Amino acid sequence: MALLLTSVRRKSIVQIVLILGISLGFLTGCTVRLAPQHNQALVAGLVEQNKAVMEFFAFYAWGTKAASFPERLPEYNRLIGNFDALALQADARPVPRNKIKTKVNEALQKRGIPVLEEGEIPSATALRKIYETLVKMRNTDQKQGLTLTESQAFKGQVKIYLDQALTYENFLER
Amino acid sequence: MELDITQLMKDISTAVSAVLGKDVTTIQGFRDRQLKAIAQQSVLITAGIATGEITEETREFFLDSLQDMVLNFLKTLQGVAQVTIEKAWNAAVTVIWDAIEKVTGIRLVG
Repeated sequence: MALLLTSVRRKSIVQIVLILGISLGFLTGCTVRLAPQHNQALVAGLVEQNKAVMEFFAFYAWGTKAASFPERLPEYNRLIGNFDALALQADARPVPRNKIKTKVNEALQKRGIPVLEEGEIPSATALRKIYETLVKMRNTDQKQGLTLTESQAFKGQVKIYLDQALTYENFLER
Repeated sequence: MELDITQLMKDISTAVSAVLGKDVTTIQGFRDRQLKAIAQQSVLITAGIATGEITEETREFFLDSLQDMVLNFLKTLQGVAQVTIEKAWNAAVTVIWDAIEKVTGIRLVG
């Protein structure tokens, strides 16, 4: 964790750029792309579903009873469908592959940061996890209802993944 | 006309610093938010298991999810760091190419 905290410091990034610049000798001479394209429609969809899911959580913040589950089912299905669609949209973009990216990954790995698998987009993973969380929440609600703590825990988990997805997608606007 | 190394280094540094200044602040903010939220989530899950408020139905799911959340947090950090490096790299290359073009008078295609 200490390595990770260090890794985001300005000096580290300058070092990575300099090491790469020297090791590759700026041979490409051209500008590069290391991450997928920004998609404004995806960000707009994310912002909209963020609001919708937080309103849903606010409504059932104190837990639920299985008996009233049918009232909630349409909203569960709507949210689950929307996050599934957003995950697909996020994953559908090509991820650049080039020599510089390989060097960047090597440099980051040396600083203790787990490297993304080939073609992996972290926001797409976060959105898939939100989808899975909502499916688990719906199934538990249907079976036995939700305790107050379970409601809070499902909300906390979705918020963490939403922050990951939104931060990454907003960062792609360069 | 020769390439002024001192000026070139200064220009590269200015271009890269402009990119880093904004991005590093955003990355640190994201890192701090995530660390706090994941710690709070861990406390909630632990307390919920101890009191039985996290039921058997969801216990394994929440415990596994804590690990997945941390892993994707680290991968998101790597993803945003890649974007910052991309921007810093492109800023540096643009400065170098502009300098070479000025000295040689040759238009370089980037």
